[in-house]
Amino acid sequence: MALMPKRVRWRKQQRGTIKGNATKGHTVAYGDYGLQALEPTWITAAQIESSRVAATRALAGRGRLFIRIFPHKPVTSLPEETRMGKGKGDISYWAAVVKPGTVLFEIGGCSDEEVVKKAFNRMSHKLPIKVKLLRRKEAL
Amino acid sequence: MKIIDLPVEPRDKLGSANSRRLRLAGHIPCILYGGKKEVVPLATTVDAFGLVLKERTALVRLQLDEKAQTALVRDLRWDTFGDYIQHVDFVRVEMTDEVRVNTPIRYLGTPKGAALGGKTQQAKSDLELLARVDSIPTEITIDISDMDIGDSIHVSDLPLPENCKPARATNEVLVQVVEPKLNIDPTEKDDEAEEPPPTE
Repeated sequence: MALMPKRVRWRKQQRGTIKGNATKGHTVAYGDYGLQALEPTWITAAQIESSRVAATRALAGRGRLFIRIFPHKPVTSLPEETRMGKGKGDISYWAAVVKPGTVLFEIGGCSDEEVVKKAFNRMSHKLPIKVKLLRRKEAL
Repeated sequence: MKIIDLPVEPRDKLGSANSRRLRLAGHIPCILYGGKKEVVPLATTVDAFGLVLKERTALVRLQLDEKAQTALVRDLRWDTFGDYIQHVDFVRVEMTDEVRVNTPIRYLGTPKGAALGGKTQQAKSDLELLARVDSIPTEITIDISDMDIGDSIHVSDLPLPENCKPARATNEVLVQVVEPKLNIDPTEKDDEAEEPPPTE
């Protein structure tokens, strides 16, 4: 089941713009490794779900996956062969607005780095942007 | 924990624009506070601070105006992509002070229970300690190679150095080897579900 909000105050949103880099949510907080976005994008709920499935299969129970983003933004579209006008379209999908630097997913409790790299590689194929692997910054 | 001599110089031009210029010139803006003394803005070089990161020590001796001040790295601010350091906070300490520090935990070996199908769950990667400055450990190493399925290591089992104790009273689990659960992925089940037989 793809992620979506349980309840929203306003059904439809304007598109908005993505400016600048992430100033929060850009460090590995829960796991040992993170997958960091390098480009601005909208990541759809379906992309998050397919990444999750890909990682779960690659990890095969050897670690825990954390999803750090949530699709809060409703994206509308008009049906095909519809004339312009007559109001805003219906909600087509939900998306997470991602700035460069945002940590999208984390993996913890997996001691084999090759398994983590494999899982992140599988996930990166499900995402529309360039990403990089981030390791937890240990306390000095 | 090893003490490193860190050359610093006072920083008189404050503000984000001046800090940005400082970073472009290969410096790191820092600040020194604590000890009920005045707050001093400082700057150090990337190369000099690189040694602190390499040695993985938080204890430094700041060389400021021919006077040495012992200090602990309290906070490090990295840039968005985790490539370079933007700012460092130092707090003044004396060698006999008791301070609260986060010490990384390193797990050595593979549990023997893992070969029998057990799953290792590492609950914590660092531990908050109350330690005297001269006794702060660089890291805590735990040998987990003897752990069997069902075994766990708690905070109370740790061999901590003298003048060091856990900051929290709770006896948390650090690592445990548990029996594997049947891993049933609901999505996978859906994919492989057979089509219903045709009705006549």
